[in-house]
Amino acid sequence: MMTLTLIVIAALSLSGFTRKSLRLAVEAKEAEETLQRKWALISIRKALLDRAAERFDHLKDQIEIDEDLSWPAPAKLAFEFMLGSGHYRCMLSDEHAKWNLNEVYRSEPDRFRAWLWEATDRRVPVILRPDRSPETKLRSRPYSSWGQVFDIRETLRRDATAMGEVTSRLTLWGDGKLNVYRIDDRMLSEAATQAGDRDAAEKLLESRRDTNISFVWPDGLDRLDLRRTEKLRLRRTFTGESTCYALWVEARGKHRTRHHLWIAGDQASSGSGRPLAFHW
Amino acid sequence: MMSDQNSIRGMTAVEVLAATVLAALLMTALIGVLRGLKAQQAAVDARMPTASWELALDRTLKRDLENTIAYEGTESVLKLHGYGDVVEGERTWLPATVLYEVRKGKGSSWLVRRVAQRGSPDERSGAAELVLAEVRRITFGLPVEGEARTAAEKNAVTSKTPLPARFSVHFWGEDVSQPLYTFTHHAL
Repeated sequence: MMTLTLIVIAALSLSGFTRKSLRLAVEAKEAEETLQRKWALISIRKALLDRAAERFDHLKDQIEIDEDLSWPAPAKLAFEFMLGSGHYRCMLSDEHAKWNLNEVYRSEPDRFRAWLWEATDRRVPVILRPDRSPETKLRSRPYSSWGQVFDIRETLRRDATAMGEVTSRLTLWGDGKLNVYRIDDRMLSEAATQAGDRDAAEKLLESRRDTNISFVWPDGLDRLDLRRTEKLRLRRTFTGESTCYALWVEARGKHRTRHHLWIAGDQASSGSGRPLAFHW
Repeated sequence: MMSDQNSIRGMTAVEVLAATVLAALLMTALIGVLRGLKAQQAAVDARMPTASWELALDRTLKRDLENTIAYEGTESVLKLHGYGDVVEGERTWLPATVLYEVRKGKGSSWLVRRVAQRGSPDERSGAAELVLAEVRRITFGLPVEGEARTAAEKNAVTSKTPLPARFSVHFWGEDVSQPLYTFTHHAL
């Protein structure tokens, strides 16, 4: 009887011990994956975002040197690689080569929703929730996160890649100026038309396309036959140097896919000097 | 008569002795196994100091601090300003302030978590969620080792301060020598 009792006690202890061991093993595995992912993300951020200006300026210099290449310079760089057991797709982009939604909202608040619907090719559900607190009114930034513009939850459920693609053309950060070396012809024409008129836009576009003369901003503006007020408005709209960059990372692990977005160089939002970060 | 006698056969002394020795050997082996199990259990417990409530709170704070841009607070409330709003377990990336508050009741105190959406016309203050019992105060700031901890930690930050790359939070109970819970955040 005692022997049987001891056997039962041993069996119960073994099963309890097994459960704990299994839990420990699962937690250790999760901790290992978390550490690997964290290490990978920090490495990616340091390698890509921290050196974004250098990468994009190098591509711009190539165009200045090589006569066979023409403007605009690349404004987006895509990377895809494996690190450890994770698969990473990254998009590094110049925020000054995208439409700034806060600027668009400021200039045309009534048409904003319709404009946005078209700009996103209707791929992403739009839910506008501007921040109307006094603090944001002071900074003229009613939109500071994609959650205020799009239905993030619904988008990620339906089509997660749409979010990355749509936001490769739009931004909420930066000072609102467009980099004249990196925006495409259509964007240059539209923005210049809004700032000056169609004539000013055509002249600016022609100047950039002219391969006989080196296109330099803002010096090249002086060569154009434009009124002083038009030149001033164009200087306020465009810039030759970018200061704000974004890095979008899609990290696929064994069990789930995570998305990360970092914005570097946005003075208004990152008081600590570190990149603004969104993780989900 | 002869068959009745044969069916009621008893055990001999040798058989009883053999059975006793076998039982003793089996019990000795089982006791040895149980002792070994106990030792291994103690080793596993030593490697698993975190209770399930601590793991859950780790995950919540990690998620909150990942999307925090600035913080402020006192000994009874910590405010994390950023985009930490979560609805049905999914992040919304809406501007929100996550508040960790110490609320005192009749003879007890609780740490409570609440999310307040920022700036929308129908500004919502989310339902309060009980986090940890017997919390009397909160301290936060950069992690500091040793005796200088209590003195160096900032107990009152009254204006929004950008969140540093390393940031720690301590929840204290009655015992002032050791916090009930500590979490250190490392930004990605």
